[in-house]
Amino acid sequence: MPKVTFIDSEGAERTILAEVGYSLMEVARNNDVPGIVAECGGMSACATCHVFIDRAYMDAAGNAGADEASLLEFVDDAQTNSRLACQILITEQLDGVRIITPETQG
Amino acid sequence: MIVENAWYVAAWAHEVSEKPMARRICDQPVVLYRQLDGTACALIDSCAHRGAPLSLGTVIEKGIRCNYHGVVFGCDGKCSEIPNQDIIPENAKVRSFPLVERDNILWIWMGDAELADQDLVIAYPFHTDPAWPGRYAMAPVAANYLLIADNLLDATHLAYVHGNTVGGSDPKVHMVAENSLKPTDRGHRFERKMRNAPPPPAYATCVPELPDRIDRWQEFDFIAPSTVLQYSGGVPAGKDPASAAAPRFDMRIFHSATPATQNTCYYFYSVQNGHNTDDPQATEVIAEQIGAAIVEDKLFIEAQQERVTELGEERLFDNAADSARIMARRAVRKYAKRFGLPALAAE
Repeated sequence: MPKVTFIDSEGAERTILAEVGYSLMEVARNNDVPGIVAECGGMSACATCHVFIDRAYMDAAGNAGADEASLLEFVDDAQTNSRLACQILITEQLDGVRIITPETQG
Repeated sequence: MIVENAWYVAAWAHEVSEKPMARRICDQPVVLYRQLDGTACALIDSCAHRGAPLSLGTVIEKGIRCNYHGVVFGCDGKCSEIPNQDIIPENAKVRSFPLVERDNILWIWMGDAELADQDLVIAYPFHTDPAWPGRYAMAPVAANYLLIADNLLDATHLAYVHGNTVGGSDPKVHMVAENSLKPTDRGHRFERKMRNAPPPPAYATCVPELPDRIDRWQEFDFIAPSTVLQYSGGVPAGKDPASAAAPRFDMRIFHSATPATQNTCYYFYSVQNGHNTDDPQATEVIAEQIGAAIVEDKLFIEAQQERVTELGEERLFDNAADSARIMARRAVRKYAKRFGLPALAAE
């Protein structure tokens, strides 16, 4: 199973073995990773599962769709490596990825 | 939740006259009236002498006279006359609220008066634009004021609540709409395009010449905390909305909800006719159609509030059509935070 490390805004790390086929948001939620609210439950409607992706893994994470890109415009501290965790599917290519969660989720 | 530091519609300009009018805004009693020179004023609706409502008073040269014991107050809230007494005590004053009259709207600021920046007043030039003749209305709604924009911004309700009026009864038209959502300074712009759709009953009633298939659009500018500026319409399918000649349907709606109490509000709306501007009857018909749609909304919003009050919101879920509504709430929180002051009460 791919290894995923979440790093919160204060630098605390949590490494999780993620099951392929789940979304990054689901993995975070199932493992009680703080900093990901996911208010809408994965509908790409709320932008409260915003994360920063390790730049080396941007391709492996895939591209943001139109709805996701539009919602990311509403995120105050968005960067070029911002994504919504509910729209990233866990694959073997993500093994070793480091994910930073923002200080707040809107 | 009520955000206090905001300009809210206190009344349409034409509603306020020398005859005082009472309204409850942000859970405070307010009296609205015009001085004899026409200036609109807003004061707390309670005399500083013995507490009687000033809305039972009379406007005279020196201000508004409480009709209990005859004490008179100016637009600034200061006492200007006490019958048979020369000395006016320091504390003989009532709270006055900042009021701005613009575009036929009276905007009131109920929060910290020092934060009442007139640049925050929302412009709506269509009220005075001869190309957009319109009608004004207000519906009292027994629900928290934020539910009004919630309703407008989840457009999938159109097919269910408004099947016989502005929506059209085919839910699929609304589900497959092309949506776009863009943040703005104080909210967002939500645009929807529905191509090759049957004209909804309200459109067909207003413009009977519309063909069986039209390209529809809806544009919503949400401006925190509770205003939505809407532009909707339709042209024969395949025609360019920017240039298509008649038959076409064009309508603007100004929506703004003012909190009365925590769970009641005034829903101010005005409807402008952009397709048959020379015909006052056409303006009447479109206003009637929208009025009917707002009665439909009110039924649901009030019933929704009743259930939410009883059962809470925790168990409610969001669906994919909720992003405009969710982003509107986000903008409201952001707006409230911008003034560094908490909202009046927790959500």
